[in-house]
Parts: sequence; structure tokens; C-alpha cells
Amino acid sequence: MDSIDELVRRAAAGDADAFGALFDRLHDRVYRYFAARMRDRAEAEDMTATVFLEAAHRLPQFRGDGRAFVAWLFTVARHDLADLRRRERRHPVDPVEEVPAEDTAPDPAQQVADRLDADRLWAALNRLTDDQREVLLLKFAVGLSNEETARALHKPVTAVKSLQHRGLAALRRLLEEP
Amino acid sequence: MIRNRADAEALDRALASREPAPRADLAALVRLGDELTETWAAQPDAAAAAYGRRVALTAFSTAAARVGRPARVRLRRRLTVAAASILLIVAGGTAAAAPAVERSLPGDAAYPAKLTLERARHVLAAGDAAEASLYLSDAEARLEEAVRAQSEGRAVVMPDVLARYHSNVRRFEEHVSRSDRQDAADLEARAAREFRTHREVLTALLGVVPDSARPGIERAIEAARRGGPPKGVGPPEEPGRPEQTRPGVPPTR
Repeated sequence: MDSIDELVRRAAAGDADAFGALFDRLHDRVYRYFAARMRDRAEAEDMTATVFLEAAHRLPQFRGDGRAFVAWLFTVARHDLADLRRRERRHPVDPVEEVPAEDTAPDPAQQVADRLDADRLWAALNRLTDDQREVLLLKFAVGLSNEETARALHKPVTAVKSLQHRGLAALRRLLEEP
Repeated sequence: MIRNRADAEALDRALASREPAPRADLAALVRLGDELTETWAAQPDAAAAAYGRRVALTAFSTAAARVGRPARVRLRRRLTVAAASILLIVAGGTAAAAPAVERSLPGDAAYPAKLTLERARHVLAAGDAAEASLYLSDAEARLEEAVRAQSEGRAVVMPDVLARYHSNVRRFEEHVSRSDRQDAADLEARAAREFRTHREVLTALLGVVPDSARPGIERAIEAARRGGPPKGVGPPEEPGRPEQTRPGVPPTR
């Protein structure tokens, strides 16, 4: 299997198969980034599609290795999410929650418990600093390494480790609050 | 309690190596990290991902084909497309070669991808002025489609194209009205030039389209006079969102 470095090199030269392979490798990770920050799964899919459209336009002229590309991809994802939040603040939208299909709906009592946990995590995450939240998302939702996270956030690796530690500790404290 | 960089390093080692953390408080953070990974292990809808892949590949092929063409050539192409269109209409020639997505018309397999690309640009637009500029470009794209539809003998798609032209012009007006004064003035100046050209192209089309398409062309000419749809004619419905055109995927909203 080709490395991401090789796929980026070939895609930058116009190789559509290489771009397709990059999409396959990275799509789910970008989706998890948005899904962790958005309640609406369809919106997370749309945002993911938008990021890859940006990548499609940018790759034929991209000059960098695989790590640089991954960092760039998640920088775009972060900026797109920030732009969406700004637009939502200007034009508030009342989201409609998805109703699960009947044949996959979990036990109602468990569903309530799950929703509470998700709500608590959501609320706690929103109370972290932006940097702490981004580090936790990129490391635990997306699975980026410290080096990849550092490049995406334009911070040194030592800062990423510190933010990871502080973020987890703050999150644990918030989740334990009554 | 967070003490110093040593704690951050110890936690990171424990997370990476899966070996027991040196202290109970760090072990608790490792467990929390594992829980986050499990909680956030969401999978996208397979059909949506497959559709996104097709659209992205189409966009990539278009972008790759454009690399190396000087920007000024691209600009000149847009500015003169209307003049060339008039010649095309009069001479009855075939449409110039262009990437498949750009050439596509309503009903073509690539057309939803074309609209998705336009929509993606709007998602990324920063502010009303940027959106207005994009809608003006979208209106020009609809005009090109109308010309191509006529030249390829597909006047049947003209009503769809012209309805989208109306919508694009209306949205342009809305966003200009919300832009700041300087941006609005710049946009108005650009629109005055472009809509004049639009009217010329539409007037040329009026001379060659089937009778059934003439009313739509006449309304588009009125819209291009910068007043939106003429009074007494309701604005057309906003063209469907991309997710409504994904094959096999029911709309979620």
C-alpha cells in the first residue's frame, strides 16, 4: 500500500487514482472530526464533502509531503467549522434532531442514558479552551499523532502534549461535576 | 493536579505505549482518552461517502485539467464567453471543448456535481459581498448553460436553466443589499456591465429558441435589468440542495 507521502506526490501530479486513495484513507477521519462537534450527522457529512472539494481544487498545485497535506486538511476543516459557527451566530438555525429508524432504535431507557452522556460530553467540551478542545479532537476523534496535531495547529509538539494533559484533566473535572 | 511538563510527558507516554501510567490520576486520564476515542468512533453513511467521493474526483479532474493555464486566460475566457456565445448562437456552431462538469446541463450525470461545486464555494464564502459575487458568477454559468442548451439542440432544459438564473439573480440582489456600502458599490458596477452583456446574449437567444422557450427568455431579460423577476411573476423555487439529488439516499432534512 502506498504511503500518504507517495499518494500526495502522485495526486499533486494529477493522478486521479492517487486522489481517490487519499480520499479513502482520510475521509472517515475528517468525518469523525466534524461528527464530534456537530449533532447533525448529515451536516457533518456535508462539511466533510466540502473539505474534500477544497482538497480536490488544491492538490494539483500542492507542494508538500503527506504530513503537510494532512495538517493542511485539518486546518481547512477547523476553519470551515469556525466559518459555519460564525454564520450560525449571524443567522441562528433551530436544528431538527434525526429520528432513528424503528428497526435500529435502541432501548428507550438506554437511549435516554446515552443522550445524557453525549449531552454532558458536548457541554463539557464546549467549556474547554479552543486549543484544548482542538487537541483532544485531533488526537482522540481523528487519531492524529502529536506531530501531525502540532502541524495542524501551528504549535510545537511540547505544547500539544501540555494541551492534551490540561484538556483531559479539565474534561474529567467537568464530567464529574453534578 | 497538573504539576509540570513531566506530567504531560508521562501521560503522553502512557497513552502511546499502553503501559500502566505511573500515577492513579494519570491512569484516570488515560481511561478518559480511551473513552473519548470510543465515543467519537462514528462512521459516515456509506452512500453519502460514496457520493462525496464521486463529486470530489470530478472536481479533482477539473482542477487538474486547469493547472498550467494562466489565470489571465481564465479571466479573459469568462469575460468574453458572452461575446463568443452570441457568435455561437448566430453561427449555430457546437460548444467549445470544456471539462465535462463545466459542459454539463440539467439531466446530465455530472450536473449535480456542478451544482455541488457551486454550493461548496458558497459555504466557504466569507460574508455577503463574497456571496453576492458568487451568485453573479453562478448567473453567468446559467447563461452559458442556456447557450449550450440551444447550440446542442436541448432547448427542453431551458426552463430549468432559466429558473436557476432567476434564483441566482435574486440571491445576488439579496446579498448586495446586505453588503457594506463600498462592497455594494463595487458589486453594482460589476453587475451593471455583466447584466448588460447578459441581456445581449438573451436577446440573441430570443431570435433562435423554440416558441415554448421564449417566455422564459423574456423573463430572464427582465431579471437582467437588475430588478429581479418582473412584477406579478412569483420568484421561482430555490433549486434543490445537493443531498436531495444523491441517488439512493433519502433526504434527512
